[in-house]
Amino acid sequence: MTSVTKAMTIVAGLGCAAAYVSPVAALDQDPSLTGSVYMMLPNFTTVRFVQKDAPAFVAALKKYAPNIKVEVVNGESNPQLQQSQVDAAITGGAKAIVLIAADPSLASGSLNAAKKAGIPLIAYEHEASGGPVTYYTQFGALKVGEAQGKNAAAALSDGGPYKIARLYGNKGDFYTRATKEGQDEFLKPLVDAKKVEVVCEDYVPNWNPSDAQHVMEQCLTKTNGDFSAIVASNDGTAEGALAALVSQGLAGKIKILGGQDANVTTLQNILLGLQHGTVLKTYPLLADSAARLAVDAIKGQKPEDGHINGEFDNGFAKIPTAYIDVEMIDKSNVGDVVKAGVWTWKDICTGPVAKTDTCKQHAGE
Amino acid sequence: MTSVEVPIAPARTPLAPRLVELLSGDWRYVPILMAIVLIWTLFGVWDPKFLSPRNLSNLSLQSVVTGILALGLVPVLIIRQIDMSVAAVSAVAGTITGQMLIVFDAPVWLAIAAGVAFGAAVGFVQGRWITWTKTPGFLVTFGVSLILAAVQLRLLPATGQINLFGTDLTFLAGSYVDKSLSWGLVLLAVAGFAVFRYLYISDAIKARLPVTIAKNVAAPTAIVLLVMAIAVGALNRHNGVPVAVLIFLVAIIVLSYIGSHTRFGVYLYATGANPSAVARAGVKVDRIRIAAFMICGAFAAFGGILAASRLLGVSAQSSGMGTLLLEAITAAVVGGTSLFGGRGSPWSALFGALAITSISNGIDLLGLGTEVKLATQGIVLILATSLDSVVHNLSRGPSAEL
Repeated sequence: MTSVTKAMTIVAGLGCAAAYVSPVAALDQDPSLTGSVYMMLPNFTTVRFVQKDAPAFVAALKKYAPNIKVEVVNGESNPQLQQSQVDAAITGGAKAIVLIAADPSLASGSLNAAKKAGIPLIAYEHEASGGPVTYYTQFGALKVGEAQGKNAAAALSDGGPYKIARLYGNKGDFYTRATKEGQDEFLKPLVDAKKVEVVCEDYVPNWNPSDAQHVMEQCLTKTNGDFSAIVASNDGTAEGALAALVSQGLAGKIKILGGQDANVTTLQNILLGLQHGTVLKTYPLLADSAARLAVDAIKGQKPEDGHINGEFDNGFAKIPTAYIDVEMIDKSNVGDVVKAGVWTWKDICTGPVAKTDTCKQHAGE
Repeated sequence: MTSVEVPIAPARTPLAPRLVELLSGDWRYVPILMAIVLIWTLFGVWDPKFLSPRNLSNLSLQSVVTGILALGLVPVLIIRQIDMSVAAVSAVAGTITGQMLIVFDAPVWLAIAAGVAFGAAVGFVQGRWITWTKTPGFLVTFGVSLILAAVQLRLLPATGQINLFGTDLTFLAGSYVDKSLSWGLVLLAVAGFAVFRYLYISDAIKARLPVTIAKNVAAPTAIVLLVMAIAVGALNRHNGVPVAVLIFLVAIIVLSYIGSHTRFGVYLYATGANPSAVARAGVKVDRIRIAAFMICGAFAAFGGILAASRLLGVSAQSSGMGTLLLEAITAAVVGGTSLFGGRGSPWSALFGALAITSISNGIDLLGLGTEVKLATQGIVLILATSLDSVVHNLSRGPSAEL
């Protein structure tokens, strides 16, 4: 657990340093704001929300409104529970609610309750559909898909034609659809030009790595292992696909493209040459955006220019949205993940990967 | 469960009770084996690749984790209990083993032993608590599964996952038995089976019971030889017999020996069938129950370690909150172990796991989609448990209702 505290201190430290060095930040510190802001986490299984986003949000809000207390609550994958937590936050006099929906399509009750109580609600990363939302801040599944597609297309442009396999996320959810759409923008032209042939494709229930492994094993059976790359929609499914390749002695022979989240296991696999890259979502940037939007909403002021850079239709209204940039990571720039404050070299360089040159260079950091 | 019921109900057609008697006795594997043959034929006709050595190799490995969890559940189901914490135990054990390897650089045998010991310890605590407070095991073990999910989140590193690629643990799911050695093991197993059958019936022959060496030794031995030769031959045409499959089979043989040839085994079945009678006979029923939970915990833990070895990692997503629990229970019941206690054997874990894994394997191979998979699994679960219920109710006979 020491590494958690350490990561938190680092995030907090960075925050303070930034505020100190640039006193003319876009949003000044406002000690007059008091009360509580509630951050509603969706579950315990998507570890980044608990380990990264929540501490980063606490640190960011402290920077802008040092006298506001942040209450972090976890919805445990249960939309009903999350709704009652929202009710409790309203009763508790929340100044603002930052909601990461436990189930994007079942957030309507929470959204309407907050609106009725006149409490600003910032949707964070997960879509929250079917009700009023003050602001939405997200990396954007479409953007992630585009980054994956662009990178995969580049890797498949020389030579060929190539046969590929594609792994999508949970069937029927918005994130899966938008990610695939982003990938298609770049892959479909290659398919149409007969430079790429998709030999198998399937959805992975709940993005579960072990299901991804089964799906990939069946794909290997169907094609007799005759394809040259896999495009995976996130790191968990890429890790499952890699396990399937390893057990068939094909690791390194079939490329793994795509990926998102910059999971530590995936970063290790990238350093070991088993996966090509992953899409980094710099959580502290998202948390910072949410903190600024929360302060703006509490004070009833317009967000500073450029922060809101698009809109998102959640089925109820077009919501002013801040899209945060994502970055493609590969072997050459794994260090960016550390610079972004997402993981430390110590987190990444555990186990067999510690013997790689990159890890040796950063030993002790 | 004897043939007494036939004369009691002479008005009925004698076929139904006879069938029930057979299904709860000698023929208990017939439905599941027929189902497996049917599933394999259907998928094999649909796409011949289903029966390719490569896919059979996949299938055998995919079945093992579910199968080992189901195997552990068998003794618990026999004593008329259930353990809802198996998937959570497997997740925590995988995490313990992974952390021992990565953080403490422990030797792989010690890491595995620590994980399995943890599973047995959880089983002990659950069994002790259930026998002491007389709380329904369903609720206690479900509560334990929630606690264990929390424990797993605590044990995982801040990164939320452990990467096991390149560690010594990968041998467990990633290595295969040498091909000539596998044939040697087949011969050894078949010879052992023949000797065992002979010893088993030799007393009956002496007692001039209607058994013959041809019918009761040679014929079953030939069937076992044929099945093993086909299975090993097919697997050897790909990578060979996976070590994990060998471990699974050895565990089944050991547990089934314990079940049928030891005093503990006799007490175990008797505890499920008629606990008060066993207690009156002076057997410490609680100890039998605790032992059943410990076996279950240990196997669940080993299954989790195997799953980690197969997936090359552990994460919060591999926690017990997924479908593994339901799959393991389904496998045991589909394979012929009764939810009503007293009936079932370790082989049911193998057959059940093979049947349900074959379905999801085939559906993935044909790309039929998640909807078809969910619906089929649901139908199989309902059919299997209903057959179990019908056989259970009929085998008690009309007199038992009084």
